[in-house]
Amino acid sequence: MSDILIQAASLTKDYALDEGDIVRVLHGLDFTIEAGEFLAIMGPSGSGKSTLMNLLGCLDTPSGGHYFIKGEDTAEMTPDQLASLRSRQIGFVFQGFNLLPRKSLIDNVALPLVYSGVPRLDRARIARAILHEVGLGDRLRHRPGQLSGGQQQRVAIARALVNKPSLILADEPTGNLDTKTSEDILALFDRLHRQGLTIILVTHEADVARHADKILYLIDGRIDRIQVNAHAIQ
Amino acid sequence: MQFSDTFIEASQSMGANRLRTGLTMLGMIIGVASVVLMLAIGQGAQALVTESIASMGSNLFIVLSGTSTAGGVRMGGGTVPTLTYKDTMAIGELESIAAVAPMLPNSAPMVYGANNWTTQVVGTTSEYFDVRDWQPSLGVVFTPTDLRSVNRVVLLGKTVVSHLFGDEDPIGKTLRIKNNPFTVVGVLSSKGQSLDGRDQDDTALIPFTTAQRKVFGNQFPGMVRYAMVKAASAEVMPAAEAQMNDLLRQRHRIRAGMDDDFSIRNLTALAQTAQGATKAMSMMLGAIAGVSLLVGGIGIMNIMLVSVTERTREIGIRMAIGARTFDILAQFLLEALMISLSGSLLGVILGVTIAWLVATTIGMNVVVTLTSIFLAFGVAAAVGIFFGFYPARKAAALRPIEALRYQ
Repeated sequence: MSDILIQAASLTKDYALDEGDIVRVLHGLDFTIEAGEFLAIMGPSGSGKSTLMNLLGCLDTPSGGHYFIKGEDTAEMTPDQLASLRSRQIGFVFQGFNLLPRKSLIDNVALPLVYSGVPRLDRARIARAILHEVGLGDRLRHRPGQLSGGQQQRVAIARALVNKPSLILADEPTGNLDTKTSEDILALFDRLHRQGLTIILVTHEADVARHADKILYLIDGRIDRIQVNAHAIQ
Repeated sequence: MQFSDTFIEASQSMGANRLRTGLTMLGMIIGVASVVLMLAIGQGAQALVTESIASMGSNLFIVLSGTSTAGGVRMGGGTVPTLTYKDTMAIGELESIAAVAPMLPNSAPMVYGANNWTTQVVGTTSEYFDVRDWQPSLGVVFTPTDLRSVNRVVLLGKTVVSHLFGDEDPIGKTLRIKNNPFTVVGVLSSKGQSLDGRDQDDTALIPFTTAQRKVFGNQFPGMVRYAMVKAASAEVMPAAEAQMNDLLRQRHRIRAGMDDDFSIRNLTALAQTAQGATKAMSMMLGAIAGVSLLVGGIGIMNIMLVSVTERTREIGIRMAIGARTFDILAQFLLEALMISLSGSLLGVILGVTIAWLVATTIGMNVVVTLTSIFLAFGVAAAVGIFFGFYPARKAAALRPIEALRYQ
């Protein structure tokens, strides 16, 4: 597997402060991610992890340089083009789950399909199948509030998978979970990775990062080093 | 995103905050109901006035004979027999005049079988029917021959028919007016109440000559109490008035500087004033109701703005999983529109119900037209879009990362 899924070329991001000063958060990052890779991004807080995550997830556009996902350059895209790209290519998993509390699990999981224009009957079928896959097939009509944190995160992962994205972006997915539940969620990520899915996971926990093939260390907006994990070499 | 999905999203969010949605809707309900009700009341009043004016006849003058003075006491209009049948015929010759009817009214008892009824019996000519735009619903009007031959024929108003004949067909029957036998030749169509509330159908019409010679008698032969004059058109009314004035002064040999011994009243001016006043009233009612509709609209905007702020994070999530600007815009706009449309639907129902209650309980004349319902509905929809647009626009313009970070 040597298809390049993501390519960052001199990627920079600046933020304008209220006083008119400009702060550069990312200083020209260059890296590529191949399809099927499991990458962890680590770094202390303030290192630009979240900013990079927003760029990778097409939630924001770079200030300079280019970010290609499957060969498409996001630098010049309009908000709607970015929305369409997110819909087709990216599945998000957040630290705080970010499920819609008033909707049932099946409706939460089916929501991305609504925005990508899948007919109603297919939506229910697909969402049901994926909820089965993450082990919640018997709780389709429950509300998120009726579930434990680990179960909610499974629903969020199901929602991320529903549009068959090229890339799963997980931002501290175990940050709100206890150790045991964290292990379950990471095992789920491992399984998805074995099935060939590309996963990028942002974390500050070394234990979590160990599950990835590669770890990208980000310090002060620059790539400090990229380390390949031992289990990936074998 | 399909429309049906947007619809489901909007209804779910309306259902999630039932009390709030209901209160917002109440603003629209009251606004629309008041517009419908006020328009109904205004149009009812207008219809009443228009009907009264139409029943009176259009472009009308009344020419009254003069006033008399007895020992310094002025006796009022019509007390001196200065206006004659010949005067009225001369007025009829004028170019600006379409028709003239001399009027000789008097109260007289009428008897048919065991029934009796006293009413205003009016001696007039066949031109009266043109002047008043009044045709019989049964039978015929009397003819110039009836006048020449002084025939004892009578046309009856609806009220008189019901008092004397009940359900019987009066045509061809003979009744007595002041003990003179009269043959009923026609029944007048119903005119209802006049502007001042008199029952216009409580009347009987007989030929002028018959009234003068056979029923009332008269110490001044040829004298007319008053004449009803119809001008050829609304435009010539001022000219007609001036011409009649000149003609009568000349015929009565009144020298310059002396007072008229007759008076001419323009009935159309009165009608126009009444019509103008009711129109102004209904416009004012409509405007007041419109303000409450506007307030309802602002209520929608207020709630939608709160809702957008409250659901910022939800909007961020939706954007992250692929919602486009338009999807968010449509969702919030549709929600505002649905609140305003369902509010106006309930408002129309409430307004029509209250209008009906007002009509049945206090007998007020109200007219609910389809136009006023559609008007209220259309304005409400426009208000919904107008006041829903800003909050929806605000939601759609949120940046996903900021919306997601919002606590």
